Amino acid sequence: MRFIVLLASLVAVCALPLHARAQTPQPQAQKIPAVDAPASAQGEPARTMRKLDGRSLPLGGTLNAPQAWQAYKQRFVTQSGRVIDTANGQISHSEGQGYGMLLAVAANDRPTFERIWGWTRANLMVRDDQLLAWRWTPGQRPAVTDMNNATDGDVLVAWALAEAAELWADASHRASGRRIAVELARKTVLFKTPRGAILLPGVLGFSASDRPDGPIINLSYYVFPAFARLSSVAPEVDWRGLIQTGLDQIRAARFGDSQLPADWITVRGDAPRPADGFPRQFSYNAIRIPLYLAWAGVGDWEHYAAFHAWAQRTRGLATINLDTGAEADRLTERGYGAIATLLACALEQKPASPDFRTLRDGEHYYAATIQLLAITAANMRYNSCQPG
Amino acid sequence: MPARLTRLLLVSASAVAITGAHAQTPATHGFLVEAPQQPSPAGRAVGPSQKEAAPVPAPQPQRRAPALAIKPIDAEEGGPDETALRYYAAQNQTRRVALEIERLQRLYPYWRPPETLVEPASTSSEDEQPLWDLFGADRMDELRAAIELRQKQEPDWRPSKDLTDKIARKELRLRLMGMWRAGQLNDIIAAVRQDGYGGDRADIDLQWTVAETYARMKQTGEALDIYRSILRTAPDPKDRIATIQKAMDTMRMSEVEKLLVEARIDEAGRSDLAPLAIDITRARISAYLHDERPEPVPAAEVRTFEAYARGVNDANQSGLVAWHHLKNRQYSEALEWFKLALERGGDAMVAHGLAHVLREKGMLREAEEVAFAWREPLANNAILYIDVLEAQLTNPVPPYVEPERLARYAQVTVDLASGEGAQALGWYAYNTCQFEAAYEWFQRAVAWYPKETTVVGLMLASQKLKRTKDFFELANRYDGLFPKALALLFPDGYQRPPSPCDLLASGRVAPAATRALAPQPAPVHAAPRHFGASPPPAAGMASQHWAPQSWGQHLLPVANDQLPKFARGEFPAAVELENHRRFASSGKLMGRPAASAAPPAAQTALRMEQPAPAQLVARRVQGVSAMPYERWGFSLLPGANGQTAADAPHSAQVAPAGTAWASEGAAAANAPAFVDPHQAMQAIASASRAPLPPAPRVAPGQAGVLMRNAALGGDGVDMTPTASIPDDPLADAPAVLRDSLRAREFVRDDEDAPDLAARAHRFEHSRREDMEAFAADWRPRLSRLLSKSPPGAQDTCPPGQDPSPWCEPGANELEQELAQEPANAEIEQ
Repeated sequence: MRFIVLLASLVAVCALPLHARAQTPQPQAQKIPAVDAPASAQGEPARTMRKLDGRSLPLGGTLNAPQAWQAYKQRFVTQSGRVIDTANGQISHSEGQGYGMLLAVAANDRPTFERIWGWTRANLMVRDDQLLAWRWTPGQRPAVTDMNNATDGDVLVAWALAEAAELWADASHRASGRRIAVELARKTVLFKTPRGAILLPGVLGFSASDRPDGPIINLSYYVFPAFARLSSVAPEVDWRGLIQTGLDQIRAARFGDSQLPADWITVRGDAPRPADGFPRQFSYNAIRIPLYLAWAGVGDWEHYAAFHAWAQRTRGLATINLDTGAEADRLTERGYGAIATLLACALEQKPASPDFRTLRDGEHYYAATIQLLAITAANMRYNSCQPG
Repeated sequence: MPARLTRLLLVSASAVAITGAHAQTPATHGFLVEAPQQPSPAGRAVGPSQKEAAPVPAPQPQRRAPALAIKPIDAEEGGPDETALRYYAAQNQTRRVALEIERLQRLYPYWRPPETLVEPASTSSEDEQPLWDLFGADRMDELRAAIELRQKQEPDWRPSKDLTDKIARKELRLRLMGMWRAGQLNDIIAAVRQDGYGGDRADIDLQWTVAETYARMKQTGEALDIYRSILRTAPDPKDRIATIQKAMDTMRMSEVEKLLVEARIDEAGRSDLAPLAIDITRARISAYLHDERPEPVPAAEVRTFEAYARGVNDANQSGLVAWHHLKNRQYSEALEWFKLALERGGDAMVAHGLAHVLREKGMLREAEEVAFAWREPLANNAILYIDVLEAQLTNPVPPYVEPERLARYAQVTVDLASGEGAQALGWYAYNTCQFEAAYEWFQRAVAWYPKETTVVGLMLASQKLKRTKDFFELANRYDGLFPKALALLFPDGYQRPPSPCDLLASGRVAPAATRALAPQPAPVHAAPRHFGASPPPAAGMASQHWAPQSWGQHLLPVANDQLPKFARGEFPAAVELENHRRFASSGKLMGRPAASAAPPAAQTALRMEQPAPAQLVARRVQGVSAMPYERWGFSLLPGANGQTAADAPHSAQVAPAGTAWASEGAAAANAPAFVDPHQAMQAIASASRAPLPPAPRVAPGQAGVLMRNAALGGDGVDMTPTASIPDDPLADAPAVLRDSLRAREFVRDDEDAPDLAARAHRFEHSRREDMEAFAADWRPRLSRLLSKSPPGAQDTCPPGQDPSPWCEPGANELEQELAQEPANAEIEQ
């Protein structure tokens, strides 16, 4: 019985994954054949790449794109500090709050940071621990509609607090960031598995006791640039171990011709495989993996090859059905293209086009956020990204 | 050019004539390059200068080489490392050659010494000197070119095998070292797989490099093989020690242990790795502290290390011993060692350990002082300080705390904007009958840390202060989320004894008399709750967080257990579901702000939000147990995931196996503590003499401002506490929200209205003064509600489309809710 409840709750968490962005209501049942499926990373000759800059760098003040940030705030951050996911019924979630806080630190925008953090703690820290309830729905009573956490949201908020503490030296940020970081390491990390440090996507619903194919991981919850920095508030945690395991799993979890990872992966058994009951897709979650890799400056060519091939698609970016290699959803919002631009900067030293730093009107929260994150990453690490 | 004497040309089966001393030969040169060298940083290139650094024993006059076995050995065949042997032979060191042969035969019983220890010189070797010079200078491109040129000039000429072999090796070495410097570890492994690296015949730097590459790439088996091979073959003890050091730097200690068995023990029983003993113990202790080593470090070893740590004036060493004792729960020893480490200049982390030990020993007062003193350099200590005193302040019968201690606790709480500290002060104030202060602190706690117990605290304080509006606003906001908050509205049907403060207030008990009270009879334990999926005691919730309910461990059923009645607008009522409480920290700096390259961002407008219409009926939430009113048959709407039944509370969740949380075990779960009534009476006495907690400072003129109205701009963040609940929570709300809420009240007033259309009609005419605003905001929507399907109307906006009169998020929910109205209205009756 408990299992059924757990399973039901899991389906609820994940059937509505944060990034099953319901922004394409128009019927798109027919799958476009894979005429332009990503070049098979298997077939691609092994190549070497320039060693990336993997230093642990501070985030504060690196988002040097004031106009894009102003536009972002006006479109997605309310006066009370709520970051709105415009494509998902105007809900908010710990991930969005974390991104908002990070971008505010990167923009050196303390008033906005305090607003977003103030909203976040006042509305999402309703669990009985130091983690955040992941979803907040306006107009619902109560507005917190799920008490489970989303580990990436916790990681992002803790990281943003650690960066804020370093940039502005406010004691309260350091203490709050530490409490969250220590708690997420305590409750959601399996440090001593044969695969290394497994990061559970949430406290409930993903572990070996919760699912027959558990534990489940979501590689886009391995926020590499965050792990490299969280030791400033929680040095006793083996963040390097998390980075290493994330890299190892990215190398191991390559499915289908595209050799891309699925959003949700089971690590039970000998080899990782797409988790049961989830779409077998490289989708809205996983597209952040190359962003985080490049942002942290970690990984080798073998970690990047499949993402690089995906980013080079001449038909434009899309989510990928890993069984057929076909496109699932076209990623038409141009904000997503910032990932490809960032990869080109990092791997090939190609300069970015001038509009890399311009936020497009009308694009939704997720694409716009990814674009600003990519700009930040490029400013932090890749001089080659300066417009040519 | 310094002449080298040794030129061993030929070793025959019987005897060998040493034909003479010649100038430097290729063979000799080669041996030197391959000779074992001093430990050096990995990645170092071997250049000519290092030939001089190689240990070159003084050549001994030697006319005869030893008799050697017949079978020549093929260099490519593998087998033991003959480098040293050949080196000694080249140096004519017969005794060492014999010893080396003996050693190799001991290690490799089937090995036979090579017939020739020195290759015959190429006939052209003398002519190759310029080439060897290029080789020695690592000028490999020029060397290749020179060979090519000479082959063109002398078609019959071939470079010696010695030279070609060594060129190949050196090129591989240079390539691998280049990759190492570029951090291309994968490429090193690929190259080694394809071309090899010379195995134990490679120079030791290269072996270390390849081993470290494997170790970093988590291929520990391969790394261990290389390290082990060095340990078995390297003749120089320094190299062996350096090998262990390198392994300790790059691998977990559990792997390094597999290498330590290679130690060579001499007749006196002394290990050749003895110089590393302290380092090894240190690494073992460290592994034990990090849970990488399950078994304890041998006691004798620890004692040796302790003696060492005591002798060196290094806080890190004594600190390590202290942490080791703390891990083993040897608190007295840990205390002594932490003190020693602090005396020796230990840092804030050492102080942190000291505070932990003091807490474990029950020396809370001392722990508090240490953590407070070291709070600024290290956030861990500030947090520990908050937590140590929190446990005491939230005790239902709080201990006496001096006013100055309370004051500094309050200051640190505001410095850290600590919800934990704020709720602790709130409970302390509440349990000592200081409700105004309790209210203020709970306000902050709800802004910083809106846990269930914190919200309950604010509701209780509001109740005591007759701030009914706050009380019901919180009840409505957390309806569906916090059962214990709702339990204040819907009691569970059991009587509870009055709290000490209630008794004091009623005048029935005088503080002075309390000590004379007779002990109460043995308590009757609570009957189990009799309705709903009542949660078990929440794991991790300290009883002190739940002080008021703790009185209720001795329960009698209430005689007249009826559904409570509320006035209209109390419950259920539509309130804003966003928590707008905000309080800034004091802005206390911890360290210096980083100088940011970017200027502070300009302040521009943020998004104006149109609040969605609030609801009256709660939905199920995952991880939340039943609401107390469910025992009267009321239900909740299905949750976002469709669930209709209450969940087990998330606080009762089982820790996922493998997490640190799971290993902490059930001991951490704090069930609500039993509170003895006699103890409760004692609390009355302490309540009457408890110091006042300092009230948080509110800047004049700032109270009552909603965050969303706080002025933007200025140089820095506004550090003034910015919010409490305004008199009218809707006063600042946009017209749409205001009207929607008032409209709802109107509708509920008029239960007799026959249909929705009539209600809406009457609503439209009832508020003439707001008609203009109303018309703009509501008429289109109302007409949609009336007509049900106006042309082109959509219930909900397509995802991504901004709300408009014809599509509003939640517009359909309004209808749904109106339809549900009668069910809820019963609560009010």
